[in-house]
Parts: sequence; C-alpha cells; structure tokens
Amino acid sequence: MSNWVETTAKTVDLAIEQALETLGVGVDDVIIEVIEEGEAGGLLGFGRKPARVRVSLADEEVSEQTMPSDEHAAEIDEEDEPEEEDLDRYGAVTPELEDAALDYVQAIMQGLNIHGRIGSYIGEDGSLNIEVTGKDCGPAIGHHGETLDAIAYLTGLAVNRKADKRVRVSLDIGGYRQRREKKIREMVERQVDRVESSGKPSRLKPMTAAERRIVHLALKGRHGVITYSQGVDPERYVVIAPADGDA
Amino acid sequence: MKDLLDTIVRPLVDNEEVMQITEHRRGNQTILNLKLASEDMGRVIGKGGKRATAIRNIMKARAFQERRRVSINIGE
Repeated sequence: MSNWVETTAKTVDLAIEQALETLGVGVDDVIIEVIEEGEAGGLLGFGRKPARVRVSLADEEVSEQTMPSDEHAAEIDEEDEPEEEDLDRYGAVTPELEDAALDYVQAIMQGLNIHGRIGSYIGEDGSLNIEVTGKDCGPAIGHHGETLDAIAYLTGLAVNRKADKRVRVSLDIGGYRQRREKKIREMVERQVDRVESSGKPSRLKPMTAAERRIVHLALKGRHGVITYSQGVDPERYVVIAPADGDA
Repeated sequence: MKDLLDTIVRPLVDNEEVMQITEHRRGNQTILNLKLASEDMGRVIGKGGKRATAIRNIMKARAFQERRRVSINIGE
C-alpha cells in the first residue's frame, strides 16, 4: 500500500474523510496537504469545483519545508499610513479604486463566511468609506476591533498600490466604528471638562491612528483646549491640554 | 484557508506568478507556506512585521471559526 492517497470530494473535510478510510488510519496519524479548497458553486451547483487533498502517513517525510521566519526582512519601501495631522494631501477616489476596494473587502468577507451587505460612499473629506452590515459580522471585527483594523489596513494598502495619489480608505463592519466613535466622543467631552476645571493636561488611552483622528477632529477649533499625539504606535496616545498652557 | 490567504496577499505583490501557497494540516493545526519573490517579501511583511501581523490576524479569525490553529510561514 502506498503511503499517501489523493482524493477529491465536495468539501475538504469529506475528501479527508475518504482518504483516511482508504488508508485505514485516524486524522492524528497523517499530514494533509490541501491542493484545492473547492468552491461551492452557484445555483444548482454550476461552477462547482471539487476539493482535492493529499493525505500522507505522518511518519513519512513530506515536503513540508519549514520556511525561515519572516521577522528579519522588514526594511520596506512603501508608505505606511501617515500621521493623522497631515490630512490634506489626498488624491481623489476614482471608480476603479472604489471597485478595487469593494472587491477586496468582499472577498475577505466571503473567506470569513460573512454574508452581509457591502456599500461605499465618498466622505466630505474625499475619503472612501466602506460599510459592511449584517448579522454575523463578529469574526470580521474581532477582539477590540483588531480584525477590523487588520482588514482596513490591508485594504488601504491594496487600493493605494493602484492609486497615483494616496487615498484614504476607512472601513466599518457591523457598525463597530460608529459605536466606537460615539464612545470616544463622549469620553473626550468628559476629559475636556476635566482639563478645563483642573487646568491640567489629560492623557487618553492609546488608540489607533483612525481613532486619534476622531479626537483631533472633535476638538479642532474648540476654545480652551488643544490636542496632540505622543508615543509610538501601538502605544501612541492623544493628550488634551489647556490652550493657554505651553502651546 | 489558502484561498483566503491568496485573496489577501495577491493584491499586495508585484510578482504574482512567483507567489505560491501550500496548505498542510496536522491534527487541528493548519500550516500555510507562502512563497514570494524576494522583492515582494517586504511588501507582504511590512515595517516591523506590521503587514504580516495584519494578515495573520485575519487568518486567525478564519481558523477560529473552524476551531483550528493556523501558522503562516513566509519565505522566498
């Protein structure tokens, strides 16, 4: 008997099941290579592609070359997102860029098995806003919005590779950002009260660039206080200070 | 899982024809090997691994749905 089999079936799990049966072993005794993940296909299964796997007995050395860790190769060329203070140097969002962004987010949603609705609009400041709504968005939001931040960040990078001039892309999923923005604004108002009554600056908790921007914009032109950011991401935070201080 | 990884990474690279992903499973562990042109390494890893961290974060969300653990190796 050979030490591996290749099987195809409707799904990866079914293909694995088949292979295990053929080999007569349990899932813990094998290494599985997923060759094709398969696609469900559309109505009536048209366009369906089967899943294909190769299952090998674990004691056999498979060509699973462990690759070098990536932490070394980090000098990089391209712009990462700029600080929130330089708000004005952005390009216009073309329909092509908008489509590219929507396609990218949509494909990731699909990969996370989220079947919400997706829409986009150009904001007053010229930024591209993408919104995903639907019931089961949780997996795409993640703990403290970490997954949402990751998707938003990579979407910005993917889109800006196609852009002549950098565009700002923001993403909301399941209303998370909206809820978060409301909370931040309420917190900012409380802190402004504190700063005004005590005359001392107040440090906020570390926030992402997008969230710091909410604070800066909320207090832009506000009498009596100024805002600035300090520290290094991901620990960078906003300070709200009295305007007549050392500004 | 490799389809999702492909979806995420492909728009970030210049040398799509060089990019290759293999997926192995062992128990509840999924190992994804992402092979890139050396010139694309930085584009996918990012400063201080920031991009790679974001990619891993999304893949973890997917793995969690399947009650699996995922590790991603990025190499040339």
